[in-house]
Amino acid sequence: MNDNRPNETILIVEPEVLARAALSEYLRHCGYIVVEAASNKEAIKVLTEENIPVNIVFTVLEIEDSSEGFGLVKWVRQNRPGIHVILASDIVKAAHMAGDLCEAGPHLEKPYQPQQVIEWIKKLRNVQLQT
Amino acid sequence: MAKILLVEDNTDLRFTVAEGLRMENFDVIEATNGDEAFTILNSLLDVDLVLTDIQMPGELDGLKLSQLVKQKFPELPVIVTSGAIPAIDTSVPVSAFLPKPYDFDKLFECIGKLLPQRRSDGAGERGLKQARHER
Repeated sequence: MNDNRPNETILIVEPEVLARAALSEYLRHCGYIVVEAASNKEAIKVLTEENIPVNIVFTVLEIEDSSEGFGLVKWVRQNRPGIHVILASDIVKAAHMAGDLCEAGPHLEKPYQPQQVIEWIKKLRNVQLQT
Repeated sequence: MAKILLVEDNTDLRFTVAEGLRMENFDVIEATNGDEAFTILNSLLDVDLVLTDIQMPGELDGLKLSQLVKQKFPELPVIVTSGAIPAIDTSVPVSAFLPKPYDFDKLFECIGKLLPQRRSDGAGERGLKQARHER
């Protein structure tokens, strides 16, 4: 573990637990502290209470939930303007954006390629569908 | 590294406990309720221990989750936690009960008893281990 890791904290907002787990683990491997939220309501609670200092909100906006995702972005810009918001339109874009964050993050490198994150999420989802 | 599935609907508490476990070199997968936990357990993600709150929103509270775990994954230890001392139905199989607020020393001691030999993490990429899909 990188002992020089700065305390950059990402709040990841993704309702699908398997995708959230994979993305969160990837970002932790890059050196970020990651807080997980399954919904906008949960995310806003975290940001309102401010017990956990968040630097970046990373939200995955699937097309069906577009109003929800944009609602969160708007809330953050109005209420916590100092927080950087990253909005990914789908899980594929989310993985690539997470890869970009890795290159900008504490370890300055990707622990593995974003495509591997995408493939892993697809595999997890397929198993879920089959059960 | 041993992998713990932490099931807790309170975000602050879940984060605090998860980070505390990670600092002790556990891998932690987080679920916000019992339904998410069951999704994780039915996936390719290996889990060595389940740590779950009892009262949570959704179809599965912690005790129902524990019952399902014991039916489907009988070798998987389950620790249940609660802020209230629940009237636990003794027919519901749990490996241990821990009261809240969490006492980390007691939590680690309990985990240590249930996982006497932590899985060692082999060389290679974390997070993309090809989990044994034995279920």
